[in-house]
Amino acid sequence: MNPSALIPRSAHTAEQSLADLIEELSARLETGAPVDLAAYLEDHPDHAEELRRLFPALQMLADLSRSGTARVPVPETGLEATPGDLGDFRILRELGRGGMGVVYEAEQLSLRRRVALKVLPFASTLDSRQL
Amino acid sequence: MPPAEPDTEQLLKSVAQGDTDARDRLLARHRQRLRDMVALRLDRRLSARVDPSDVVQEALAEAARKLGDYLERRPLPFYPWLRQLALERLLQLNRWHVQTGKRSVRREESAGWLLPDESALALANCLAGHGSSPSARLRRQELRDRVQTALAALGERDREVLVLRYLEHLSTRDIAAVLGLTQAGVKTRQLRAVRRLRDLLGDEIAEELP
Repeated sequence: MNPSALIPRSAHTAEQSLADLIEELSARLETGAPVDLAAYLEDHPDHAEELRRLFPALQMLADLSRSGTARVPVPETGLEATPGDLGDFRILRELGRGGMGVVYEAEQLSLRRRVALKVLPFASTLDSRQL
Repeated sequence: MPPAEPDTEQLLKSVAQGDTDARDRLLARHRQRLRDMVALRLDRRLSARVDPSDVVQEALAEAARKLGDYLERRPLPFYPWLRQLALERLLQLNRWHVQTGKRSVRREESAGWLLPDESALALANCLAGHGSSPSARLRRQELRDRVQTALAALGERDREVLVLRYLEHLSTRDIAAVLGLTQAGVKTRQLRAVRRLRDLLGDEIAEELP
């Protein structure tokens, strides 16, 4: 449930004050200092429920903000470049990857249909028919 | 408009008086940050051919040429202005690679290019980077998968504000300049994005976080 749906229009300023609080809390969490959530909840009883609910997400975001490694990960397998055409398949985009390879959204040219295509690691060194 | 960080303002003042040394220092201090931004937003399929440092170098050269005009008009705070020049470079590169018919970088959803799916990956990978013990790392991995799914499921606008805030580390003022919103508007959008992320992550997230 999204609580914002329950908040009437007239509560706009309440919404804005919650937005300010969220930003303030985020900024504190990002410094890495421990945050006394209980004190926050006590100081802002109107927002206590929502603050408690959102806190884990804020923690997670602050955590990654501080990690300082925010960057597109370096390719591990050499599979990063989308292969383009593979036999009868035209690669459209990457859908996901895992230990067993990369899954692409592809078009099967002869049948003109969209398919999900799994490409195994090292497959690029093999004949495409072995995929 | 609230004052920018004093050093930048001071340097800008010196630049306005024709101090080229100040100009070089001003541009150099933003180099790393711009590089990180470009690396974050560079389509992974372009990354084999495009060095983010080159993109930044070109953007900074352009900034040096346009600095006089910028100082007269000040359309944006300084860093958002630089960032925009670098983003435009990225767009040009993308167009060039697409127009030369390199199918390997073709993309269906061109609108999403400046915030590729990879940014969701980057967000998630940051999280996975910490864990120390194997079991902690495994939990991190599971968490990462869920976070990745959640971020990918976020709308573009929600994801964008989180990336600007938590990955690019822009101030509320700079995010407002980039998105063309008021600072209050930035904060409410951020609230909305955090809510959606929280909804998508589900309740187990609270127990799995450190």
